[in-house]
Amino acid sequence: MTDTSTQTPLLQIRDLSVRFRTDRGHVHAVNGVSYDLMPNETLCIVGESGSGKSVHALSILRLLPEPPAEITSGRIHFDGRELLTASRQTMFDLRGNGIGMVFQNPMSSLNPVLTIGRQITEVLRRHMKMDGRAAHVRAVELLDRVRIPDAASRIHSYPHEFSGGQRQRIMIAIAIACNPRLLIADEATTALDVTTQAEIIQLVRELKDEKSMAVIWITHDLGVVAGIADTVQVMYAGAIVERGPVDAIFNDPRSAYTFGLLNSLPDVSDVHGARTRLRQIDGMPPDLHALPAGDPFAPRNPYATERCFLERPPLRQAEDAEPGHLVAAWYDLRKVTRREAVG
Amino acid sequence: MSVAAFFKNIQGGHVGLFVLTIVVLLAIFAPLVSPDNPVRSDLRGRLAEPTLSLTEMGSAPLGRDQLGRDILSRMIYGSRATLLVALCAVVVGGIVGVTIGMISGFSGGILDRILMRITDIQLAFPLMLLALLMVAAMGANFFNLIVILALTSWTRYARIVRGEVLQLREREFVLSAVAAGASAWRICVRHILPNIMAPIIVVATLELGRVIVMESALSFLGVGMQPPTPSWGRMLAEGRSYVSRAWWLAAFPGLGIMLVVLSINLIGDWLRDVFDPKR
Repeated sequence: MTDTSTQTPLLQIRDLSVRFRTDRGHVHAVNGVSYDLMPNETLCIVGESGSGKSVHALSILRLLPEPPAEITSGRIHFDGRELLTASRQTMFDLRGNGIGMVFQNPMSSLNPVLTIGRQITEVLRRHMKMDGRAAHVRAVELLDRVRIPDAASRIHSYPHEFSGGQRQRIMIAIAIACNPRLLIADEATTALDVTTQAEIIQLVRELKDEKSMAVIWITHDLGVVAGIADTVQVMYAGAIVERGPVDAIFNDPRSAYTFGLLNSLPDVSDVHGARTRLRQIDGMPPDLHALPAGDPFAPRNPYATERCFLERPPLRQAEDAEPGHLVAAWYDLRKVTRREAVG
Repeated sequence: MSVAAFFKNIQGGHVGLFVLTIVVLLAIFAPLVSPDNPVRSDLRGRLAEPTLSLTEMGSAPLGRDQLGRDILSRMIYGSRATLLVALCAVVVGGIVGVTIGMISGFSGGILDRILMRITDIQLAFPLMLLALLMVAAMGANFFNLIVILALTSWTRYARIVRGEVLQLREREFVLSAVAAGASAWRICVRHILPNIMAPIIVVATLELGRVIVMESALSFLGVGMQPPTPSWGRMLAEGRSYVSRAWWLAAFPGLGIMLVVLSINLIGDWLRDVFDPKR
């Protein structure tokens, strides 16, 4: 990771809360999320479905339908601008230009009746004010860069003539077309097979260095995280439960939830077969209609203390950990797991 | 290309296009190609049978009507009114209907509900009564006829387009386009509209047939094209009372309507396939 202490953050999110109006009341999807993202940093956001990871990313670009969504509090500061109070026009100009976004399903993210050339040149003409000729040349370059073979002729093809992996490359080409300072990938490799996934991750890593972009990579796949992240942020019930440099999170998790996630991963080095059963996290994610007063993970947490049920733990620097390794927990995971190992 | 290969590659749409082109050319060059004055009556030739031989009144290959007017000439001139009115009505109705359908489907909420109730009211209103009222209020002329026919037509587009847009706007590529900085207007015109061309074309071809028939119904009631201007619908209507004695009065305009509507449907099917990138 680059030295972050001297730089100003590219993206600053403070106390972001988002809720959705439903017939049964409000669903509290994001609850007081705050973090900084440095230029050129790759942040992986991990969490299960409903943890608020996608919703918070969509709210950065103001892509949530409002209503039913409602951003109840917070500030999102990007590259010198406040996004939550920005005008519609500012947001139109920012989307696809300052911030590029890639979505989960490459099969449905491209317009089926437009050639991919038209879909790429559209953003170039829109944001870079290029004429048709220049945009075409640039689009071929971009396709070439994301390693679409024979880009000059394939530019006239329609989305269905490409494989899933190629379509995701095209989506990436569109997202990076205007040299954004931030790329948000929302489960961008989830729908792809493992080898294609690895190629896409490699491509994003290269592009990130080339264009010195920051990347927010949203996933539930910890294998992907290990391959790409500088910083990892684990979310649960719309809040950050742990955050820190990637090595610290993998080697020294301090939240019982992170610990549970890591334990549920198959250990590939265990070549002799199923000596260890995969361990799951018992219980169900909390009902986001009515969150408990305490730590939302407490009911599923075998290490929960009485205080966990009563009071919500703040996100703060973990004891004896790397600087920047933050955790929201009342218990000390090191002590309880050590006791467990001894007992 | 050999002759056999040529016939093998021919598609319904090509046939339709060929027939329609001929009809349109005949309509445009009516004064040059029609053998007789379409409104000159000659009672000596009243209900004359179709014949290829020349009589003292001139040729009448499709026969003559109850006033002795040449049916072929009347059909050639009549195609002008029929085609122009029908095409204009379908285009005007289409533009209005597609616009309302898109606004309704894309914006949703209160605007959607208001527009759809207006559509419901329009659909529930008896079209004939509306047409008669409008003719009474505005008079029967070419322009008003288009307005009336368009009014009876737009609801079908609006309903179908709204349904398609409702479904399309939830698709991920729309979200991707928004994330790439596209405005609502751009999303509608550049991303959603090309996706709904197929159903629009299908509705338009069906509507064209329906509007031609509707025009003939209005003409039959005397509120369509005003005599002596010939139109296929009027000719069909007038020929109805003679059908047992002189079948050619109604048969040829009917055949003309059928041929044109069929051609347009064939073209519609073909266009829909052409617009489909998966082919």
